[in-house]
Amino acid sequence: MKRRDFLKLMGSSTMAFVVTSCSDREGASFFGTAGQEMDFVDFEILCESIQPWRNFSELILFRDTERVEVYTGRSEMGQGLTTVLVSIVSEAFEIEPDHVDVFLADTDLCPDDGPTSGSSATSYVGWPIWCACLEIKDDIIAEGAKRLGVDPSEVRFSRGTVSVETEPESNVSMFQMKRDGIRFTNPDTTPQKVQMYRDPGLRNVRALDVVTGKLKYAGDMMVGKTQYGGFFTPAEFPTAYRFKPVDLQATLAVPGVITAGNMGRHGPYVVAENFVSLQKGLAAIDRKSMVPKKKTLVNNLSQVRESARLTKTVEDTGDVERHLKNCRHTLSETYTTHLYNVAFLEPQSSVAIVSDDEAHVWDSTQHAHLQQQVVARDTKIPVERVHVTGTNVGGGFGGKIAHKSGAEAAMIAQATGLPIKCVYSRAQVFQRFSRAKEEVAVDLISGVNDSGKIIARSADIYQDEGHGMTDIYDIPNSKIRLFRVSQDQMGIRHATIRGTSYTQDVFAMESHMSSLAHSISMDPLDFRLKNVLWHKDLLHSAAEMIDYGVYRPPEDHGLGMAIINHGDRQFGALFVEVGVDRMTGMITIHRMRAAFDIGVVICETTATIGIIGALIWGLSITMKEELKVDENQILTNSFADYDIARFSDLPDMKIKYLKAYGNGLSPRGCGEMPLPLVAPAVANAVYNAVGVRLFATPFTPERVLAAIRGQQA
Amino acid sequence: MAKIKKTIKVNGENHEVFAESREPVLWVLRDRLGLTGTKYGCGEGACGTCTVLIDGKAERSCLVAFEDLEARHSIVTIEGLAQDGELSPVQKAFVEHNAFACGYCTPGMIMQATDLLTINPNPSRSEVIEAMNENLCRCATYPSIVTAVESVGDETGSDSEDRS
Repeated sequence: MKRRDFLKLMGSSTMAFVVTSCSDREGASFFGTAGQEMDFVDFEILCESIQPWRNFSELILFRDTERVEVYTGRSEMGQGLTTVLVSIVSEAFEIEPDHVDVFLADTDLCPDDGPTSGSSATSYVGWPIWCACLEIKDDIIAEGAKRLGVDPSEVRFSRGTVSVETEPESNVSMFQMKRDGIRFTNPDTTPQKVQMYRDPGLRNVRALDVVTGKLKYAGDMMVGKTQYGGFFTPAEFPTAYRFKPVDLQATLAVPGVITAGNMGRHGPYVVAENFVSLQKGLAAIDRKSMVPKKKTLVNNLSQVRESARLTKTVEDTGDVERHLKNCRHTLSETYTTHLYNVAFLEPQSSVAIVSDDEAHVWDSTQHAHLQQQVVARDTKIPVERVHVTGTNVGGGFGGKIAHKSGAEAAMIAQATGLPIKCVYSRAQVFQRFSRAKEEVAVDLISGVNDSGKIIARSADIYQDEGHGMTDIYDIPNSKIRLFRVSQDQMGIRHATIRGTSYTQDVFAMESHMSSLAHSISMDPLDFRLKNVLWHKDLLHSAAEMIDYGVYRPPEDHGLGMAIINHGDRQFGALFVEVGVDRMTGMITIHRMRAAFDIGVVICETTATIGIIGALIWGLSITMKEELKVDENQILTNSFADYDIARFSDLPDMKIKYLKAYGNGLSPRGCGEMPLPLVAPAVANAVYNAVGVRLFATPFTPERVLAAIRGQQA
Repeated sequence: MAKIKKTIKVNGENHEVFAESREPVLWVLRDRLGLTGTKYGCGEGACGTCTVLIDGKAERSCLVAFEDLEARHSIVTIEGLAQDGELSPVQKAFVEHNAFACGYCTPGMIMQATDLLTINPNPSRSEVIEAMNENLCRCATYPSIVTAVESVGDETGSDSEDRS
């Protein structure tokens, strides 16, 4: 299928480009971090891939059909990128939203804009497009004035048309200028004045396709006589074994199985005419195909502590040891967090056709250009002959950046000559490559003076990156060190999951902050206000939303709070009210009240959906989710074993947007930042309710009950 | 697993289908009839993503075997909800209230809500939550889904129940 045909199939019909310059890419540091997290499968490929992620030159084409179209290599995965881009372009040129077409994540058509992660698409792609649109609008106005024979100051721009201020009937449209061959680009200039953006208040532009089932995901693709293909996936940690060829007669005897084979280090694969037969064929594969490796794996925090080595000193200011020794009030605590899985509803899914040393792959991916290189590597097809089209992503959350289903479909397609659809089973989502957010331990020691000012803080973080530990509070003497075990030693390998390591580090630091406050008999809000560098307005606002200081919670209810600085870009404060059942240990979150500074809100509709979703994600991993393992394998392989947040878990939620700090002119993203607030806010509320401190997640009733009984003992 | 041929009624039309006897209706709909609006999520009825209406009742299509369908059964999928180009009230409400993010769970949510509103045209908030509780949304758009479903009840319901 030709790419244009595919685009039509996906519901679009026209072509053009809006891609623009961005001279101030904050993303460099962000993607440096993302690269560190990719060390399992494709770190080198990712680095290579993002090099061209660039100061790309302006290019806007207006179609003869009077439409404007936008291209970016980023993906739509529910964060609302399509709606954001439509909002921006329609607002800039004052044209109807349905005259804007957005094309995403296609390696043939779109520039490589890096992975769709870190809540960065709106700020790193959307905002440069807004700036370019303004720049081009200036060109349009200048050209229009020239054609109308007046000075640019005498014309007005409205609905894509330049007209003389005093003679509206004397006008020329930007599409007419385009038809006349005018190029609206001026790469030598950057916008000197950024016009304030106004959210046009669009609903999600994909809504009709979503509610009618027309929105296509990779697993929905029907390309010729596509067969189902997949690789053998044992529950054991893949670091613990390698594959050897085995006899596949039992698999080939399964009705519906078309073929099967052994593919070197990738192991046995099966092709079947339907999904069920594929799963049965895979289940029939002899486990003798697995040859154990002679190595000891690190599978729990105790082993991590024994094996970890210092990998980085993130911060080392002042003299921590001396000040901790001299402080009248010091507090030493350790916080730990648990394993969890990304658990998106759409399993990893891809379709591939390989013929004549050329591969076409339709992939549910957060980074089509990375997948292009992964497919090229695994099939040994030159990268320029690998074409990857990113489809709508049914939830990515970091788990569909360095995934493998596209390459797996392509390898099986290459081996068999058949079009192959690779859709992971739910068990494979949990077990294939055994990736999860690993357990983390944070050792904290802080010293506080009599007035409640933190003088010194030492943080040793095991198996994490240390995001979220810095730049929140003004601490004159601070040391933050990271200790890690090599991923090759780990049974469960690190996965980049929504919230990244902010989730673990903010839990530790914000719980510790409330503990510190209590240790010197200070109100935790006052203590934060005394030490915080930024966020005071956010704290005040969220506190007011929950009537902090006025509202008196009933017995066994409590209020808790947490704040976050997410990469100096996004800021938030959350207050919660919980109730604790002392008999069962059950925590109920009754209210969440939060205030955020995310810069310009491009599309409040999609931003709010993302923020609320992130808070509930936080609730889910804090209260419910836990990936179970033993020394050899992952035991969790279904939603029956792995409960995520559902309707009955909903608290009463209210949020507010503020502009409290930083450059209020640009958007800064919001999809991850609220998540890490939940665990510490709930832990602090539980302390407020029943006087016990929760040092480990998840907050299961058993753990809460044990803490309460420990207190009573 | 033997293949069988039978006629099934989907979205008002009869289809002659040749499929494995134990093949889940989910895959019959998706692979043999091209109705891909019904999604695979877990294959064991735990997520609700594959929900369709069978004789008006919400069912997990991943748990219903092809051989268990009879000609008298009428299946409605997400593709069959709109009538003459007019969205159903539930579909309209999901659009109005932006009750989705990635959209993968949305067809199942809409079918489940349609079942609820057929049985109970004016559900309370707690009744919505109870009826929808086995449908999962990893993007966690639950609050807007509840609002959307309640809004349909507001418009179509005749009772004025306690909405606590």
